Amino acid sequence: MSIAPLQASAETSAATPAEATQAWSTPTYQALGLRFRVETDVAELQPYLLRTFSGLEVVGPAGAGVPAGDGIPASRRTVCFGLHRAMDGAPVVLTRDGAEIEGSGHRSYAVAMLLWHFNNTVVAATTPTHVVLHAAAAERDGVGVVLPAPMESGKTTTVAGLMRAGWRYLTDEASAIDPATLQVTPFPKALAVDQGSWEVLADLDPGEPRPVPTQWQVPPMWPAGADRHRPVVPRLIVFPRYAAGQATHARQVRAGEAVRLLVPSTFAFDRSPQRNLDTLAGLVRQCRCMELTIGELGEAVAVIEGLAARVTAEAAAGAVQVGRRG
Amino acid sequence: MRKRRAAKQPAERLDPAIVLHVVPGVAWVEVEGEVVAYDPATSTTHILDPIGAIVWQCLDGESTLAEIVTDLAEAFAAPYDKVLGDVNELLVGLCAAGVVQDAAAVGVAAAADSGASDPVPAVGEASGAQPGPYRPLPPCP
Repeated sequence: MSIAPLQASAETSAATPAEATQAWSTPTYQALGLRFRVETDVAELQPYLLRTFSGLEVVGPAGAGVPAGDGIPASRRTVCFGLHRAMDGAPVVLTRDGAEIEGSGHRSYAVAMLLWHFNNTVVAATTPTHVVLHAAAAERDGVGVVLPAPMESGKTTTVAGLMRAGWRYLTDEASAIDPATLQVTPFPKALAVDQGSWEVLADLDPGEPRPVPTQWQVPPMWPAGADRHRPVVPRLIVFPRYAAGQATHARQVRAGEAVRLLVPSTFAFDRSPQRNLDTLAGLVRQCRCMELTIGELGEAVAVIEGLAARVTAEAAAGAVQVGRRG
Repeated sequence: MRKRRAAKQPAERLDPAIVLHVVPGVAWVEVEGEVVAYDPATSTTHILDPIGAIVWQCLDGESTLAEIVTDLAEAFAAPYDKVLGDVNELLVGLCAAGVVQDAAAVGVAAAADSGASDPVPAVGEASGAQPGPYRPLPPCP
């Protein structure tokens, strides 16, 4: 596939879309252990891409970065995803570093696959140095909450509710725990809100363009003055489970049980089982661990805020030993 | 990762002279009195309650079952036979789960591999400490 020369973009969603026939690039972003950018020659996708990645740290202008190649340390590479119209007339092709990874798909499929590959690549780039949980996370007043759960359990919806209530959004997908500090490094990707939650999160509707018709990519919002990229010490682990029609309630989880529940929520756990287990135990030791049955979002947010207030009060009373490790 | 073969029917009673240890490669951690163990061969997680966690941490590959039980009976001021029964049940289960194994069985395997003609006696033979119808442990991976 031949790609036209890059056109520099602005770093905001106010960028003017390029001509459809010209290649265009987002800025270079840092997402956990991944440095990346996205090129496209599909003009309609450009504002969508800028909006989708707007929460991530910009580390270089459009087209910047060191390409993948032999002898270049992974941490210094910039992965380049591409959404291109194929020469053979197929709607859109998804590439990574110039190689086709999903071909001849409808545009909505190609964009959905870009987001899927992006998440996977971020996780793969981060697991060597961090324990990465399939978990949403947020922080307020120094209390970090991690929400680990399988798909369709209510992670994104719950963290969206927290964000709307003034919490600092950290991620809706992958909470990267530093084994040395037990802090969560933010991964503030756009919130992937599925159709089932549109009604309860109607005020977060990002509007057009909407190339993936069944999922919103909601740009994060932060309280004024918030440091978007500062790591956070988690004090709460809440395992959410959406249960339509049930009363919202929380129950405490024993430490050992919490570790057991975290194991299947850890990406690539088998690659470093002892490191991961030690880190999960350390995380659990510094947290109050709860299971949260969610019947209604507002109630769930209130329960989490109540737990956070309790943690804060206990810390103030010296009942919680900060950073304690066994 | 290669899967271990499922253990055969475990022995009901272990020889008090047996020396057990945690299977190499099994990751584990103690957290607030409990032990969480993860077996990468089966992707299975096990939780041991505080008493089980103490037993687990006694599996040093050197102490016999009888020695461990004696220490625990003393520490908890409990009858030896009662402690032995409880510990036996726990360890049989852990051995069946494939996360604990007979340390001597590793020696047997190693000796067999090296062509030695005088292997370590079979596990499960009756000892003087606790007579009974001992059966051999399942072959450990």
